[in-house]
Amino acid sequence: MPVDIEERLRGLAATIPDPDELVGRRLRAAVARSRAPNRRLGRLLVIAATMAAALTTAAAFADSQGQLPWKFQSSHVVRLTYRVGPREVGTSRAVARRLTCARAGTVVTCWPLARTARTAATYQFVVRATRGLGTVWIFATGKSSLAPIGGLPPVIACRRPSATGHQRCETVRADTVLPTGTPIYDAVHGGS
Amino acid sequence: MAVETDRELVAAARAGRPDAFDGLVARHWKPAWKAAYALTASHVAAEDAVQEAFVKALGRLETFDDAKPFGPWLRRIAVNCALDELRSRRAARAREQRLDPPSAQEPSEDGWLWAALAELRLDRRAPIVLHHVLGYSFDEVAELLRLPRGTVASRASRGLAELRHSLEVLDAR
Repeated sequence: MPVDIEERLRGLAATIPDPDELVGRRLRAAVARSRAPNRRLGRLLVIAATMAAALTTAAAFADSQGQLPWKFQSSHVVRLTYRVGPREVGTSRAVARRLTCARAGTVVTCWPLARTARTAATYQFVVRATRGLGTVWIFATGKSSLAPIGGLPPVIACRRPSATGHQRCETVRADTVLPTGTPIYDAVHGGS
Repeated sequence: MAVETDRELVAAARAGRPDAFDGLVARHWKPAWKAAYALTASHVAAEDAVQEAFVKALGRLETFDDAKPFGPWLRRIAVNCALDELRSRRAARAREQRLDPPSAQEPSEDGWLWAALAELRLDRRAPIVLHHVLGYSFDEVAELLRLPRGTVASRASRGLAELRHSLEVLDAR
């Protein structure tokens, strides 16, 4: 019997998964993995603890040079700084994939959550991570601005390292919506 | 409190109200993601595409014609972002890392069809997914892909023939 391919394709739309359900499935899989010794999961939990600690001190970093592009100096370790919560355990792969750096059109993946940038360059990365009941978004551009979508739980943004080699990270409050093109430093601190 | 319409949320976002664009994200994330997923067959690539789409939408909000509905506008951006994802090296990596479509994990007709679609060349898969799965008209697909309508239709037709052949071979087993 000939295959009614068009009919079957039409029915395919109904089989597209629900993104929320996918997160749930990954979480269940992670929970299942956690019942057995698992080096990767253990590593993630260590990273979670490290990141949470970093978060508390991130805002202390200073940058006297203001609104320059995101730039990571030679041999500087690019760090994602955000809090990893229970829901993220199940989405470790997706979260890690978001640490993507682009340089001159060449894309490299930062894995796992840190990578040494070998050359001075402008990097771009986009991070989406879930935390608790909310969603943390970090949108960064390789230009001199950051355009987060606000109204969500705290967004942690890190810019290029300061002259001392520290990467500066700041918390953008959930109720802060920045117009595209607004340098984040100005938006947070009311002008530098 | 009355639920705000998309038009009201867009106007509020333009005016700088903090939660307005968040409202649009919450409302339109899922349909945009589904469209992107249909093209990429990868939840990771779909998330990237939709995230990129919202960034673009935010940047273009001033130029958005609010006489038109926001959802289809956003979905078009998402579809284009998904196509960009597929074309890029980044997407190549995402395909390597993709999760199989859900039904492919438990072999079924739908699972095989998703797999067969994923095997098609992009220039054939895109018109098929956009037209036959997502329901865009050929004119809309032509606009999205920036191709003549006839080219879109013929590529879809060739892709369908290829799919049909694959599935007939499968059914005959």
